[in-house]
Amino acid sequence: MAEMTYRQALHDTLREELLRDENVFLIGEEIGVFEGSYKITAGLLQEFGPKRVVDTPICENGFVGLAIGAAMLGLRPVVEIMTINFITLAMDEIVNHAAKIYYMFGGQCPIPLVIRTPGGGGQQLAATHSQNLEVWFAHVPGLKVVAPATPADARGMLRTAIRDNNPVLFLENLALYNTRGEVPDGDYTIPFGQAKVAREGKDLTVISYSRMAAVAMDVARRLEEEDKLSVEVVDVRSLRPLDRETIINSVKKTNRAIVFEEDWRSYGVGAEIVATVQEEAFDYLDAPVKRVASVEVPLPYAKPLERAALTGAQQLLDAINDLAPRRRR
Amino acid sequence: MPEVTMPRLSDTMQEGTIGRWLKKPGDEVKRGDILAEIETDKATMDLQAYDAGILEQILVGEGETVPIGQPVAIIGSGEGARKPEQREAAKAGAKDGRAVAGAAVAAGERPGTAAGAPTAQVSAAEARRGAEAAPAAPPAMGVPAGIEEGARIKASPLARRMAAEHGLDLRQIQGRGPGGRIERADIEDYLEQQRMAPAVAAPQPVAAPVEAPAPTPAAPAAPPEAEVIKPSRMQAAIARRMVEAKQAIPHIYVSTEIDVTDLLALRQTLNASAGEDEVKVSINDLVVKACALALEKFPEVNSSFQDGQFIRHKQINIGIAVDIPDGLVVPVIRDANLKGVRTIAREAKALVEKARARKLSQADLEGGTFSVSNLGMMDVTSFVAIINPPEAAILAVASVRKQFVPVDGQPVIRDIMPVTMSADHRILYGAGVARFLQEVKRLLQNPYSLLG
Amino acid sequence: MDTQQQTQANTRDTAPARDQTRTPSLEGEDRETLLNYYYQMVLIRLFEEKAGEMYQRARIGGYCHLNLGEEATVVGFCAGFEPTDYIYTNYREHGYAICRGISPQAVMAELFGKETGCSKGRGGSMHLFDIERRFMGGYGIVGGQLPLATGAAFAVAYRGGNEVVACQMGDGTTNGGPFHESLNLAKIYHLPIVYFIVNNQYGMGLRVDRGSAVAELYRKACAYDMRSERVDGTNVLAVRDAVREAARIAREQHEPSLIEAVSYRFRGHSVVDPDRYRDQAEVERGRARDPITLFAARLKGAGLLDDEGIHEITERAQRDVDAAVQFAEESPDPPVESLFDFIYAPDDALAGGK
Repeated sequence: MAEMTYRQALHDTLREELLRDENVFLIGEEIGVFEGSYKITAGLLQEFGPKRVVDTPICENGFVGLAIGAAMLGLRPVVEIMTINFITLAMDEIVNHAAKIYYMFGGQCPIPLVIRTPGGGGQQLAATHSQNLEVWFAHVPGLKVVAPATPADARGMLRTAIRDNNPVLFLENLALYNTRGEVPDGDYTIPFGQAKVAREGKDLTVISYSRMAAVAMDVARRLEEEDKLSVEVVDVRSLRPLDRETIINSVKKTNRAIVFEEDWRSYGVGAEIVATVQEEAFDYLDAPVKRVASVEVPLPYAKPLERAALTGAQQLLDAINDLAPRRRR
Repeated sequence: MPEVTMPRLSDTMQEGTIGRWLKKPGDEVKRGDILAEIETDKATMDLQAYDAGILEQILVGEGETVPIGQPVAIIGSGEGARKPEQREAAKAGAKDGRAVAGAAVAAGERPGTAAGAPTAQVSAAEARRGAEAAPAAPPAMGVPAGIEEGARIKASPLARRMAAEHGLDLRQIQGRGPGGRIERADIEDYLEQQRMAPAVAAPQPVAAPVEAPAPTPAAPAAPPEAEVIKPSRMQAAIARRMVEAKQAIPHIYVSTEIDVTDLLALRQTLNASAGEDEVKVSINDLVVKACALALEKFPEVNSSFQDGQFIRHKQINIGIAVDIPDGLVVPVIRDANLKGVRTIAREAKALVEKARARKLSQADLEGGTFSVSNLGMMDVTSFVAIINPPEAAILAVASVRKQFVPVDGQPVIRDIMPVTMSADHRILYGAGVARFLQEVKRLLQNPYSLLG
Repeated sequence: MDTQQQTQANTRDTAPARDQTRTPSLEGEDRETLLNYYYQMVLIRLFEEKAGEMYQRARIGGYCHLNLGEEATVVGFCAGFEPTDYIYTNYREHGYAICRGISPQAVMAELFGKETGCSKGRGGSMHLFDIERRFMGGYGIVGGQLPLATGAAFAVAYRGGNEVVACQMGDGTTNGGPFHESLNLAKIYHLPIVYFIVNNQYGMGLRVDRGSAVAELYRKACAYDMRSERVDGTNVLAVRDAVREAARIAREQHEPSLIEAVSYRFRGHSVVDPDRYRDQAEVERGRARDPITLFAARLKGAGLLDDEGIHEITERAQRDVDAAVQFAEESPDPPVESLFDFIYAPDDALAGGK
């Protein structure tokens, strides 16, 4: 076991995979000479050289497509898109090509591709640099979409992503990079499609992923310390495939649930989770499922406006207090 | 001889119209020649020849529309040109094809009009039911906040499930969730109260109703010679409800005896003519039907007393008391007046089975407007039942016995069934109850009036 | 603005292949090879005509784009590459698939949507694929194949291989983003790739000079300082030679090229296009320059082929096309139970390596 930051967990995993498999290479804007705009790839160009760590010009459509083409010949590219906001430029390659080549060509050509990219806002980066667009990709058959919330999960799931023979969107978060956590030793992997009960509780369930899962853990811990409420936190970790069973079992246990997400509420990730809960745990619900999400505006620059628009611990707390059962167990 | 068929010229095309023939019968045709112009849903396109030869016959004329794949011309070696009559017949065939296709399209556009009607009927019935079924008000012991006049009870799915498991009537329960919704906490509160109630009531002085025996002091410790058994949830619930009913409702009782000789004969006939898989009709089923029809004539019996007002229910839903191992439940047959006796028999059997298997749902137990309790199979000469609040009355049916009765001065053996009706004296008075019973008796003694 | 190569060529005596009537000599060519080119062109012609007919008979669904009139471009292009090279095309690819070695039966079965199709019925006309023959698709998104082809070339360079990647496209593709991003990446990364524009002068209905700021499309290479050339797309040997040269340079020097082959579509954009936007006289002129007729005349003139030979080749090609239709008709549909096959590749999918 070692304690490390989320950033360190990613960095070390990338490095080990580059060492382990010569087909693995990294490609993206400023990942080499600049050492990565969030320093995830610091030092890797120096160690592995420009063939394995490839700097690209600013052309997401071009270099994501290039990575897919390289994957068609059996290389294992790990693409970094600087932030998820720029993924819009590569939508055609990801949705029409990476997600469909294996299927529409009758299973002849797997696409072992990883696209890593951080989402999230809160640093006054304004509307086009603060979004959470992962739900677009979770919607598409043929893709896999994962969102680890802790350094340990990031490490185990990035290994799985790189070794998977399918296109994987690996969602990180700007505010998670500096968080710390215990990370096991050894070459462990975490399979996709497995949610985690990050914290057990009895009074209600909070279902979340990525940075909001970390926030939920914090809120749950405080509530328990103050002996106010016992909150169970389910960290989904994997959006596609989605572990519906773990979510349903938790709701069956506590009968009250909140989905806590940083993206916008309408047609967001929560919509899928809530629909699943009411389909499969209807008779166990003691109240409608709530969604706590960011306010539906293009994120403004001014600090007080940004703060009002982004969701966070306070909004979760308000929802928990609203939903708390009259009788505790 | 190669046929030229109407081609599929776009992915949405279903049929095409011949705009203009560019060749006539007798003309030579080479592969690739344009034979005609075709008008499609999108554009005017060319009809290409895929075969070479002589255009022998045109089957579909200019301006005519045919579906894709239908022959429009024949290309041959030039020998057999069909006679004009045959050509006309082919043209008629094309028209018929079009007519058939047209009919198929029209039918497709209005699927199952016949099927549409029953749906409309059912919807109307449901609308009636929804609009008019006011859930009966709870008895005067506190009005749960979750109930609005004429609206359904708001309760979470979990609360409903718990209520069904405990045999609780949601109408009795106070909902303290949003909008008066009944939640788990409310069910749990309620269950707790009823567990604590006997111990709480006992120390009170006087306030007990007339029929109560001398108040028993609270007995926290059981006498050493007795076995202490905790009541099941159902038993506790029944205990509570029956005390409420007796305390709140002034009961009056009216008895009569019904000659069921002809009724038994009818029953035998019905069951003899039933198929092997059909449920047998019982006396109780016939009694339920008779009560239901009588309630149509005497709507004041099909009512409740709430907040000092009479509430007359439009639906006639009859509860049948079912004896089960640790208690008693009263599942409901809805709209009993509208159902035939065989249907009632089927439903009753199903409800009894569900009751014995402890699988009755809250919906099965809700909404009763009158109840029938039958101990006829137990060799009982008579008995009196306690009303199921918030109903107005209940009919207790005892065992059929053979008895001599005078007919034209001669003793004749007849089958006689005693019944006693308990009624809420706030709503019903002796004469009214008697008149109602007379109608029930009339129906049962003229049993063919129960059919049809 | 010209590339260095164009500037150099302009200073030479001969202009860079602009003269469409100049044709390479037949000296030194192998007779069998030439007859095979002729057979392939005829095969494509008959196959595409049959595909058009099958579409109108509702045996083929969706979209169907034909290579009619482009046979010399197709055959010349394919003849310029090795079996170990990788081919990427757009959606007008039936001819390329056949020349690459996918049997007409497997192609027709794919058009019919049958289990025996080269994409197992999952792709249809625009998504033919055969990994063994390195025919890497068949793509319906205009320009979608360019970054992919560029990536394949990247993989070749990464591994130090000596294959070349061939990327065919239409004239409209040169106006879109992926074209520019791909050519730029190919140049900065020194990739072994040949970009091949089939300029049949029309997008769907948009004439090339109305869609592109520069109508001579090969000149766009100057923005990437990339070697480029224009060639007569109705001359199979001219196309082949231009492609071969570009492939050699790509293979040996890892220098990418852009080749523009000027050709003409005999018919509309697809089988449902009534082609009302082209001037009829222009269409007739285009059809008059039938590449098959032109090549037959050349072979006859050189004494390599006679009428009987033409007849035999045509008959053979017709039989092959008919056999393809019969095979497709008799093949089964993919079973509905297999609907979820190929969503995800299993963990051992790449064990064999590529």
